[in-house]
Amino acid sequence: MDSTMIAAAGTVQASKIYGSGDTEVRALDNVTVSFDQGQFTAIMGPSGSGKSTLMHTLAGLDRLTSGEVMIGEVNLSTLSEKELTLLRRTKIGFIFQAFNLIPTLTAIENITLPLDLGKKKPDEKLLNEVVQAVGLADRLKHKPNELSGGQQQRVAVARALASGPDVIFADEPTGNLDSQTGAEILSFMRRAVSEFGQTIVMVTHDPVAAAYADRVLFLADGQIVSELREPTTDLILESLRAATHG
Amino acid sequence: MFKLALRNLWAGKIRLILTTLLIVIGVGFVSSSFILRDGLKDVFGNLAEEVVAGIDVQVSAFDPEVDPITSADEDLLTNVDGIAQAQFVVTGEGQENRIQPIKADGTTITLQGPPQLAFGWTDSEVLSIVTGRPPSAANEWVIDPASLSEHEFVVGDDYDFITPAGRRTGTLVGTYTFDGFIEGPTFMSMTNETLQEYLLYDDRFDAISITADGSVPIPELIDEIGSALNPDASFPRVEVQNQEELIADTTAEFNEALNIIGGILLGFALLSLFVSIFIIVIIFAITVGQRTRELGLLRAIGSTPGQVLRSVLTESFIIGLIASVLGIVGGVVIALGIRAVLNAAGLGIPSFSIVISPATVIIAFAVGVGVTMLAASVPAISASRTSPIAAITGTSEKKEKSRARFVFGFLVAGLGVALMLIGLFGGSDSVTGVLVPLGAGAAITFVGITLVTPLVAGPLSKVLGAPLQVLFNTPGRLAKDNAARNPRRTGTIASTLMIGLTAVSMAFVLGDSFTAEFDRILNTSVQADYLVTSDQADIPDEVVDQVSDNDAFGNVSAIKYGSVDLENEPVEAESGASFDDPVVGQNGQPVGFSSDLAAFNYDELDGLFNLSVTEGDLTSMTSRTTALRDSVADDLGLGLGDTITAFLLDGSPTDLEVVAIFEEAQISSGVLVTLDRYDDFSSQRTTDWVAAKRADDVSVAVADAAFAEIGQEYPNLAFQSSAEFRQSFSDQINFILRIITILLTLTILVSLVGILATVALSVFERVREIGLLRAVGSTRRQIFTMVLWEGAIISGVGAILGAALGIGLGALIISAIPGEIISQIAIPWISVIVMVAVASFMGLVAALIPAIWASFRNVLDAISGG
Repeated sequence: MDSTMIAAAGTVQASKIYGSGDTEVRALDNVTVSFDQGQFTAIMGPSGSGKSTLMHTLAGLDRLTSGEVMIGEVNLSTLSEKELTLLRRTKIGFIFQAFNLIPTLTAIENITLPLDLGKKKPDEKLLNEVVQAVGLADRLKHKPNELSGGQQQRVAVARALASGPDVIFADEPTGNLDSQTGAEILSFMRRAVSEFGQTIVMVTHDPVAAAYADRVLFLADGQIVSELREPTTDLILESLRAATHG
Repeated sequence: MFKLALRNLWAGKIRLILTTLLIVIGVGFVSSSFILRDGLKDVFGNLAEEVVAGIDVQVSAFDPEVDPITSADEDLLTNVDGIAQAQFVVTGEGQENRIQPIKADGTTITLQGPPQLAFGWTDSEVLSIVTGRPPSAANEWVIDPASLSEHEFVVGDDYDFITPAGRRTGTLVGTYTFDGFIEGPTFMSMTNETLQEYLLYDDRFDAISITADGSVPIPELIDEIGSALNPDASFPRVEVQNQEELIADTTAEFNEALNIIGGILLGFALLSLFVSIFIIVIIFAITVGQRTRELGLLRAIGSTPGQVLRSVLTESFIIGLIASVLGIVGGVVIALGIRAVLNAAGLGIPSFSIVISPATVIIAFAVGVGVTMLAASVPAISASRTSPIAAITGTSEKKEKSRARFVFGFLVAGLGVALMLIGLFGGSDSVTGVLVPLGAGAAITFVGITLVTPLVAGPLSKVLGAPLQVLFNTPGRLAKDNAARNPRRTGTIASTLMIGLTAVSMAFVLGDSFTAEFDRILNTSVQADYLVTSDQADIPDEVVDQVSDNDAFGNVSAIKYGSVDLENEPVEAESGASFDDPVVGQNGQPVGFSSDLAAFNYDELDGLFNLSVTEGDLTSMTSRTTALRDSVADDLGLGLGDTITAFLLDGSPTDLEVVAIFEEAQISSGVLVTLDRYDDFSSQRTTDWVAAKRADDVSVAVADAAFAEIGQEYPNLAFQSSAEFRQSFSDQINFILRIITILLTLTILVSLVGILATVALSVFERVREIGLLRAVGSTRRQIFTMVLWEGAIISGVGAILGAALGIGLGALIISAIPGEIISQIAIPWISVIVMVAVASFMGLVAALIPAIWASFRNVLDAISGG
């Protein structure tokens, strides 16, 4: 990885402040960060460190108080609510911890949902690759309640990939899974980055999960306090201890 | 636990508002029917007391048509002691609207408003002249000041009247008022002689108002008067009443009419209440479901099921209490609203003061609190039984015992249909014998169908939603799926709308069938070009003469209707079951058979009516002959040449030879006599109908003009071509349908509130789903579309089910009515389709608020379920 690569997403002096006066909370404090294309980044930090806020503002789900968010060449702060929605539909993929799927839609319909919302025909080749890769070919006609938790998360990953987004944001994607199923999902995400060149930003507080990433950012009190490249579980634990005691 | 119940009230603000609103509407509608009735009773009750002030004893005839009070009775009273004054009065009782003044602009006062009342002037203390002087000579009259100014009459001017005797001219000599006067009706007064002439009363008086001089106690006086006026004590001709009885009698008459109005309103109110209960049950079921976790927690920390149940019931009790108070206030508003709407539709309902009787309050609270607690207890019981663990982990979605439910639903619906069939075809003679099982059966059927609707609600939602998927793509698809997702909820809510629409579409089927039947009669039996008709058989002889004498018309016939008692007995008792057969007639004669009676001008029937004569000849009718409808001839076992013995008005029998047998049943009656003979059978001196045919050598335009010219003189009568006649009939039917629709609108509105509530609560339940959709790229508009059309699908399901059920019920009722009265079922498809479309659109409107709420939800809040 070298720093001359084009950034898929990033922030410039991003701040997010909730409340005012005595009750003012700085969820993000002047954060400038960049996420390279084809890179798997994990964001870690204790509760209230601002990691979720960072992800939400990056993903266009929330707006900054000041500063800028870029997705590719697009400055999100200049976009209207509707433009932001369309951007989420086409350029961003989402994987949430739970409640990822619409219960009335089948697995394949959930996968193509963002495309259907934009009345776009899916790229059959990409769709096939994705479906094959997540190993859901025989469960495509099933409704979410007929799938296991791990299968549901795989559908969510497939959905995030199927529209070929610029960047995928994952919010604790394995938080509700047992460790073995979680490992499956994470290695699949890893492959998406390595083999498809996908960009993924994942919020997690599980060091084991973070170890699948190329890079780990540590947040505390709304600021990036440290960063690890080529992380291992041990290195991450060490950095976490440093961050909490530092 | 009470504190917790209070806290829950705040927690479920939306549920609170919606439930309260529904109860307020329900209680309001119920109490409005009582408030309206009590208010009007108050008005008329006061009137009754004031009007009879100063009368100690009143005498009236038992049968004024046959044996009325006449001036001859004056002599009979001279020997009775204790009478200070005996006034013979023409009260005009039962003669409302028969005397109609023509305003300066040539029109009469509308008959769709309050009545026009005329009575003979007396020197009574209750009457007082406001301006001018009382009527003293023939053709002089006075009017109440309110009607004077409303209809722009001028004291001193001459005005024409339409009367049963014909057109008359009278001079308006003053205005008058009386104690207990109410604004609304047109009150006129003229001398007794003038009124008797106008009403074709000859020497008849309606009553004798007697003031006692105090020398004889009233009960004795009453006995004396009774024995003086009733020569045969075992068969009295007059009734003698004291003041209290008179007031009670008058008030009872008013009250009877008001109870009918109040009863009808109450019926519609109960219908909307019935709908409200369903909706409240659903609201509580949904919200208790949402609260299962919370209730589970309570159970886990040691609350007994009883405590949980009490907390839910306390909550509903408080809601019911508040809603009842608001409902009574709402009832006043609705009562005034109903009055305004009905008056706008043309029914004249006088203004009244608001009377909230203790009974109204008690009923309002009983209904409000009772209904809420009943509705809440169903889901509350199931909530209290939920196991703590299941509740906390939120895995309480137990599988419905759907099969048992459906079987039970079908059984209940079957029971209801059976009950309706018993009512319709059970052969009961009385109206209650038909209506009670019919009404109860309909209610039970609805309950049964509501249990079954989930079975069809899912598939039907999918069918209705299919076009939406094409039209709106993914949002349409999701709307369809969401509506079909919880078939029980969709089905129950849809069935509330179904109830209202069933009633409306049933009314439309009945109305259309009657109109179609009427058309059929016009086509087969009536060939006349012109018809004069009257709402109260009020066509004076001079109208018949004017039409007959006019060269523009060929054949002309007057038609009079009445009834006749025969000595002849039916051949088989059972075949006469459809007729009333009292043993003794009004004059004590032995009656074997009763029939309706009609009289035509048989020489001129050609080209006017086709009575479908099968045997004999109508043109040979004389005063000593008759013609019988085939069914009557069969019942009596009579044929051509046989004789019937009919009783005249005075009770004497007369023999009539049967000279013709005919089939026609609607225009004619069972027994026909000549117009001359008719006068011996009935005291009616006016004519029901006049039918005329255009003369062959006269153009349509000339005949039309001649007919219209005569009609101009009689604005109270309908002078119509047969096409206009047909139109006026369907106008009347449509008027009734409009009133019914207005009264059912509230029921429909209640169900729309239910749809609003259901969609809103469904949206709350699915808020995370909406958040997810927004996150992955649904625009606000797409979310809006999705929620909006879910409402439309639910209402569409209800509307279609309601229309289908209403058509079925309407057809069932029509087929239960004897074929002689109505023989065909007509279904107004266009009206039904429009109705379904409008109702579905209303569902769309109902979903507007939840749709806006859903589309403006903050994405992050929504995803996290807040």
